[in-house]
Amino acid sequence: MKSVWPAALVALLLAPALGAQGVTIHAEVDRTQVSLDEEVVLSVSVSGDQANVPDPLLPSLPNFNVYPSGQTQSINIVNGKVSSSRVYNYVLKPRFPGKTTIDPIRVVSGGKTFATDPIQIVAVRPGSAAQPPPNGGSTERRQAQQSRRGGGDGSDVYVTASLDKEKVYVNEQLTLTVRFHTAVNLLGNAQYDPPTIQGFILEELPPERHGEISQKGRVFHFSEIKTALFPAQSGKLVIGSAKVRCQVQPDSVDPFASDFFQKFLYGGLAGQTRELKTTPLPVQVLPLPDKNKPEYFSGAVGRFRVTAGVDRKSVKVGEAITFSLTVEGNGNLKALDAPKLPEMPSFRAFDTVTSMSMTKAKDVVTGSKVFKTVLVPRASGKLSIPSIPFSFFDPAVGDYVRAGTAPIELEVTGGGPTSPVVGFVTPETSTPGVTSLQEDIRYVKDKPGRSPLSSALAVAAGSLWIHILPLLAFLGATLYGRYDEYLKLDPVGARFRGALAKARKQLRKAQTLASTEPAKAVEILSATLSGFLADKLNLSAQGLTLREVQQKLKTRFPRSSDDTMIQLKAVWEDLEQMRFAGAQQLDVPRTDALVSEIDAVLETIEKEARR
Amino acid sequence: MTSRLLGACAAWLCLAPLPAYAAPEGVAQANESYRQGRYAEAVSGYTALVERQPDNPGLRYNLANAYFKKAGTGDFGRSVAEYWRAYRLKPRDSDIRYNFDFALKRAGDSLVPSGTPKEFHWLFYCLSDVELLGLQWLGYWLTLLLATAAILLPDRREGLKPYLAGAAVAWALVGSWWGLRLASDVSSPGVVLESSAEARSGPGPNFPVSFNAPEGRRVSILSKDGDWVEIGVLKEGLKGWVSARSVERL
Repeated sequence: MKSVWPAALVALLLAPALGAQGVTIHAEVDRTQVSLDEEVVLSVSVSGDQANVPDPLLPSLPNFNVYPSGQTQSINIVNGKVSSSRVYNYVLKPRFPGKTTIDPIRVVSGGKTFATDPIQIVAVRPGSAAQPPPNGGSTERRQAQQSRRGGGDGSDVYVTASLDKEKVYVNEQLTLTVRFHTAVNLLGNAQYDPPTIQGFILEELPPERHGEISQKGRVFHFSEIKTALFPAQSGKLVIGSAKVRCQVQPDSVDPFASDFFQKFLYGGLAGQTRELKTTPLPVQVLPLPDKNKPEYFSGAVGRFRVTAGVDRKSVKVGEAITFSLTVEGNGNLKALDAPKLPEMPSFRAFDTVTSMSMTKAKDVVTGSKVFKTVLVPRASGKLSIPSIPFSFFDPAVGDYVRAGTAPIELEVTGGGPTSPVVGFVTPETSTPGVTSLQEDIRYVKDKPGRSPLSSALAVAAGSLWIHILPLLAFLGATLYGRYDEYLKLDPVGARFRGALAKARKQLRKAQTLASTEPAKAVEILSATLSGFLADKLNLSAQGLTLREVQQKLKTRFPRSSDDTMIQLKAVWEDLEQMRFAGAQQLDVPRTDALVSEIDAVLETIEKEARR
Repeated sequence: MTSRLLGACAAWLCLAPLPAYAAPEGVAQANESYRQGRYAEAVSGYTALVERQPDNPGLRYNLANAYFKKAGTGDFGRSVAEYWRAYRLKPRDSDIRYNFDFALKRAGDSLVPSGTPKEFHWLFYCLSDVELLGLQWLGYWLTLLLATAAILLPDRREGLKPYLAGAAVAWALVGSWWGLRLASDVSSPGVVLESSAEARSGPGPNFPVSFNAPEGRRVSILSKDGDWVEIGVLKEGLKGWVSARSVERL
């Protein structure tokens, strides 16, 4: 910096007072006297006690062509308080000779306006500047201008636009150059309309350059504007036409022509307006390939380097450290997102603050972006900030490059009651209790099994075939119930049909009792025979006589044979004899034989009754 | 006869599942790998065990934990899928519920839908689908056997009536619960395995991307077309087509 304008010093002196209100602003220039073919660098510094300071508002500067020339930002975090400072650089190209004042540059914050003092700049014609120019180019140019004075046909003035590449990847830098050539003197300043550019992110590449070239023996003076373009989408894009409107001297006046005076007086000194425009430029924008694309790729295109660091490596639990992640290199830094930090359960992480510094040397957008994150260790011990993966697409190679930071080891000691607490960290309450440090999944099970009840229910749910059993039982019981109901509707028939089964059941009972209670067994046998015959004949079992039974059988069942009657009579009389003979004459073989005989008679009667 | 039949059924229900109750061999070894942080090895061990006992919720829970810690490509999604399987087998297990919810929250989801009381959710899902079905069959057995006894034993019919009514009501309640669960469960469930699966408006890369589904998000697989499946994201109610490799079907 060659000099500082006194007004800027005044602004600096006032800075502490303004700082008390939160924001300070001051401006300075690198020179106060400048030639028309030189530039002045204006630096506007805005500082404040917040992460993002507001942008300055430049006053109207009609006597200059103004080009933004990047900005730098610095952020300080001291004891948890954030302060930042941002410097905005502008290149001012004087348009007219004379004394010019840059009015106060303002910034608005919290409803208040802060401003710099005015700055005066003296612009002089080339060659007469008090501060010598860096080289003699302007002198040569002036001589060249003088040598071509008097031109004026269509080819004397033209404008071109060109790109350094025809095919680029998304977000790769592309440089557009618009160059205005003239071999004649212009009447007034040329008016420039930049091209319509859609689908790109623009970054101006100041300053405007001037020079001379020789074409077909003529010397052309040119002015050149460059712009860095970053395609935001893939496909065929078109950069529209740039337009220049200017006034040139009319055709040369022939002093020997008949209308020389007429032309000289009425038209010779008036300028001719020329409207020039460039041809549209197509650009083929290639999409970034999916092949080899890392999962953590966040869209960076260019060439970058990533580093990480902390402000200190020994810290107590609860104290804050500043973790800085710096990405530097060539590419569209503005579109660069912060690399994703991995999970660090041992730390409490706060919002990331970003600062950026950009230069455009040799028309390449270069710089660095710093991502600062405040980390507060939750636990003591040797803690590690793991490697932060970062990847970018290198257009020169046509592939993704994987980069990453080195892990950072920290020594964290236990925080005591006197451990300082960061300003914006919520202080621990004095009430003792359980403090949740981090969440994680619960541990694996030592005996992973199923409960017996759950397993039983699962088996019950899975064995479909067995579930038919209760249904069958229910259906069977239902049928049985219906049958039982049916029997109750025809008691005589039911008595007739069930006589033999009922009698046989009693016979088995009597047979069982024969050895222990023979008299009772005989009573049962006698009652069984009477009961069977009564059931078959629908009579009362009480008081039945053999004669009556035989008579009724013959009547009811005419097909009853005489042999059956004889057998019945023999069995009946045997039973009568045994009933009255006494229990001592009974033995098991005799009872068994009697049971067989009765069973045979009953079966015969059953058969004859069913014929 | 009825009492004998009931006894046989009870014995069958108790004894039949006993072989499935014990923890299989190899758990200790896999657990040791997990304890020492060799998660890939633990995943292999638990996977082999799960193949032997696919219905063991504890093994699936351990496998999900190993996937979660291994944190390779698609492992988080597989972890959610295994937690889900474990949860379906034993939904009242507090560890399974906690880890499943923990993983779901990381995927932008939650076990208990917003607006649903936690207690109600726990009660409604305290039994697994299989357990509910088993209980339903138990109610069926009790009701039919008591009805059979009431028919066959007319003398005890009056005494059996309250039990029969109780069994029938229990059967109806459990059956309704089971039906509601069937209706509310996700049909053809799946889990997103890709970190940000691009769901397109049709089955192919020529269709535009409709939305991105995060890894571990629960989805319903609606249909299939070649190497593409149509998914429905349960929470947001979105539908789209993703590569079949991006989704694990439960």
